[in-house]
Amino acid sequence: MKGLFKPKPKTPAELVRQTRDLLIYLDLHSSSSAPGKEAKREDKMAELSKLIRELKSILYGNSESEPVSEACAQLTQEFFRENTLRLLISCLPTLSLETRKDATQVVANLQRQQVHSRLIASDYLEANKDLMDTLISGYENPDLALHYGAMLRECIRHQTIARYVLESEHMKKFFDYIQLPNFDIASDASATFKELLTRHKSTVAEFLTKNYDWFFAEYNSKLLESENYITRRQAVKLLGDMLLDRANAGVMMRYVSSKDNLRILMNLLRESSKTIQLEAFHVFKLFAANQNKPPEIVSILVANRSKILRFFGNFKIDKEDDQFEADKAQVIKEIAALEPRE
Amino acid sequence: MASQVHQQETNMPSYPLDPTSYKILQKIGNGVSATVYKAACLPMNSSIVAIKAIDLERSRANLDNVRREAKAMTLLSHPNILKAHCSFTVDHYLWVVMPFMSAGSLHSIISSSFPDGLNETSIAVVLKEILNALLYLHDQGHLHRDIKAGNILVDSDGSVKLTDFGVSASIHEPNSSNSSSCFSSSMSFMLNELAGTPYWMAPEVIHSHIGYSFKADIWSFGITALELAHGRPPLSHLPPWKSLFMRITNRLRPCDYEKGKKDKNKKFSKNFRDMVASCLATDPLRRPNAGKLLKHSFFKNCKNVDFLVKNMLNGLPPVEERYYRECLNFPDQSAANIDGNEDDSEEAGPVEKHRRISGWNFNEEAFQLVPVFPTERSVDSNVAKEAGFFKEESIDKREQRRIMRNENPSAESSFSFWEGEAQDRTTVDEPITGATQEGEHNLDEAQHRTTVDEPIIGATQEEVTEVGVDVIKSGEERVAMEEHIAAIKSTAGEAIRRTALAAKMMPYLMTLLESLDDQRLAVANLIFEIKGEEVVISHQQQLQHAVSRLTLQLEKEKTKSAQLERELEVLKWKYAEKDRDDPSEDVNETRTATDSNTTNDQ
Repeated sequence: MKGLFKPKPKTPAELVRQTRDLLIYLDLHSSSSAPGKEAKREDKMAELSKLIRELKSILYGNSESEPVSEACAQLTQEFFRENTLRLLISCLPTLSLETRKDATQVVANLQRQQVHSRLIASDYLEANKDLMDTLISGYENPDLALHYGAMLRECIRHQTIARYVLESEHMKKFFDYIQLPNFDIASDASATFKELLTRHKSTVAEFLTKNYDWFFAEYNSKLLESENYITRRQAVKLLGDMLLDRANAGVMMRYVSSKDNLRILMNLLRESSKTIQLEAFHVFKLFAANQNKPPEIVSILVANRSKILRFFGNFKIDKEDDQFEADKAQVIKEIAALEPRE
Repeated sequence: MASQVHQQETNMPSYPLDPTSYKILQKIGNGVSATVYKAACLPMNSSIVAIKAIDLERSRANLDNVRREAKAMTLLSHPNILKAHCSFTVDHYLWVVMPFMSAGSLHSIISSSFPDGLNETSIAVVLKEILNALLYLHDQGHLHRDIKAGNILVDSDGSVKLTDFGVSASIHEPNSSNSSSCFSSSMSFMLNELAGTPYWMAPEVIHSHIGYSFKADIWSFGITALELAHGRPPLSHLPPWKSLFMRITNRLRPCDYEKGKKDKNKKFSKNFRDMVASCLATDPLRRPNAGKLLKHSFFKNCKNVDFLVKNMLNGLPPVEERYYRECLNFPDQSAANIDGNEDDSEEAGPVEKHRRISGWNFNEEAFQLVPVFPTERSVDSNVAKEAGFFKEESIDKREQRRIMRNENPSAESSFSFWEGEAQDRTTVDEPITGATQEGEHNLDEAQHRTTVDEPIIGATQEEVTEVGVDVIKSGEERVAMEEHIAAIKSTAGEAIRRTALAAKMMPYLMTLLESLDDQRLAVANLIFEIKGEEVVISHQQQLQHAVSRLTLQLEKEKTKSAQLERELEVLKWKYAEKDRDDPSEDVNETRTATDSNTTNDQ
């Protein structure tokens, strides 16, 4: 009798199947606006929202209970057994804001769920790489950008997926996305851009080596020399992070051997912004520390020696930082000792 | 014109993303790194908006915080949460365009028209709205972390909205710096980062071994209730930073709300007192969550927001006028006013770790909050009196510092018993440097401090007896001292053993300290010879010069102390053979202790 009043709680797999069915329904009926169907569609929407919320609470737990790993594994397995992720991504625009947020968090969490100590999300995405194209194009739609962006950042935690994105044509688009006027979206795009260029060391090193020419040409002209303060600030910081990474030593050597790059960095050192100056210093010091400076670099440094030394004489930061002081002293020493060559 | 037509055609107006579309009308608030303006959005019939201009140069390391705030304000959608229209950068400012809330913040309303607090009915209305916001936020996995009247805005129709997500945190937004494991479940989500505004901060935020979570917002909510009831938060007669320190050094019993004003006509209902008391439970687990609080009988039969329009907003001067008047009253406001305004962002918030508070007593009858500190001993006054105590105390102090360091490496320099200026790095050394040129200065300051303190201590004691909390009289200094050590012992399980060890090591450490002091004296003499009489000019500058000179000397000193350390190690090994404690642990110990000495000297 009890069963009549209180239905047995559904298993995680059942919840996923129901979610999928509803998504399929919505996918088919998204464009039809027949008057009779409208109400039915609303009902299905509400049901879907509830289901996605339930999925979320299985994965994250709630204030009373921790997530159960067995349930999470079941859910994950069922989710990737069929094309649920693709459906969810394509139906996202039709969902309400709250459901979009829940869905995003579900997708994010699934990327880290292991089933039999395998990240099955990675296998799924590898077979469905075109989903990345959809997620990236989200940056062109203000209503979807933050949701797709958050999903995308989770997906590129998988190395193969990150490599796919790095090597795709989309990489060029990021130079525009991170300068979009809308701050939310632009900063989300730069977070993704940074993740792509710092997370998987060997992949990044390979990408930068192969694509050095176009990448740094774009990087210099569009980002480091951007009109936009925040773009310059983030770009010079990220440049420092990339070049100082041991995996990118080869790329670094190449970068600090170019006089054009030196000129750009010297301009950034002269900025009125303290933050940009400091970040630029962390890159500039590499030019100075290079023990095999090409003659053109040497001659620029020698020609500007007194100015540079005077500049560093007054270059201070608010915080006490021994490393910074040591670096600065080293740079001064290097530049003071330079001999003009032929 | 064309765009205007376009805006009207679509129901969802989208606000323009360039500064030329807005006309700044007036400044209506400012904080450390942001200013809030009232502005007109020209393409939208000059509709009125508020623009918060965040100076990105001033929030240097924290671009991520800014991003999180903007994102939160875009994605959170609740009638009691202020949603941003849009945000974009204008040179090194981030402009966040928001709805204009014409009645301003509750802080501003209270300080202009209700200096002694609101009536209970209004409080209930406001708090209920805020609880709805909190329920939603927590359900979304967000912690606000800066709940206070200054962050609650009211519109002319009485609607109440929570704002300022500058220091908020989310379990779904992995942030390397703020949480132990970023992708944890809702239940075990824990933060360690210190954030918020001091008066409103929960004890576990200031100090906890396991971190804090959603219940920290509930504490701040409780403090906000007191703020609305009394016109200001507990302990606020002390200026935020110095005072935070004052109440530590001077064994203040900061019973709040000075007597003159004290609740002459104010009788708060049992329900209200009970509700606030539950929020201010020291143990976060014993505080109710937002959902439970909403069901509290205090919120039964709660009036709706129209009540606020009639009883609170009626006759209220416009927000810009209030701001203007406030500026007249406090001309150096931008510098002085770090809490009050609706917009103060992360820099007013996150603070250095200063002090552990062992607990709080909420006195339900008096409707006040009384913190309990593990130390009840005023050190300043005793340094002069009890010279014999000095060394013991400094060892003790180092011990405590070391514990602090273990927990939070970044806080090491801000912890000192002697100094009012916790943020002043250099002064931390003074007690140890003792004999150097600052000696004079130090003494002066100590004297100065004691004279300042006396009336406060006097006043406090009176208050204390009135409120009926346990008082430790000045005669009981030694007992307090013991308590102090006991308190340190209890802070961490590991620390117990260390303290015990440290006590055994005391003679050795004292020898070490003495020889270090001798060396410092020599250095000080040297400086004196070089510098001669000039020493008096500007303490700060002088000190900087001295520090740079000292750096060279320090190198030598470090070598010496390294030698001493080795000697000490030998001694300790011998000692440890007699003792059954783990000798290797022991060695590490002293090393950190000596290290802390040397680093503090720099």
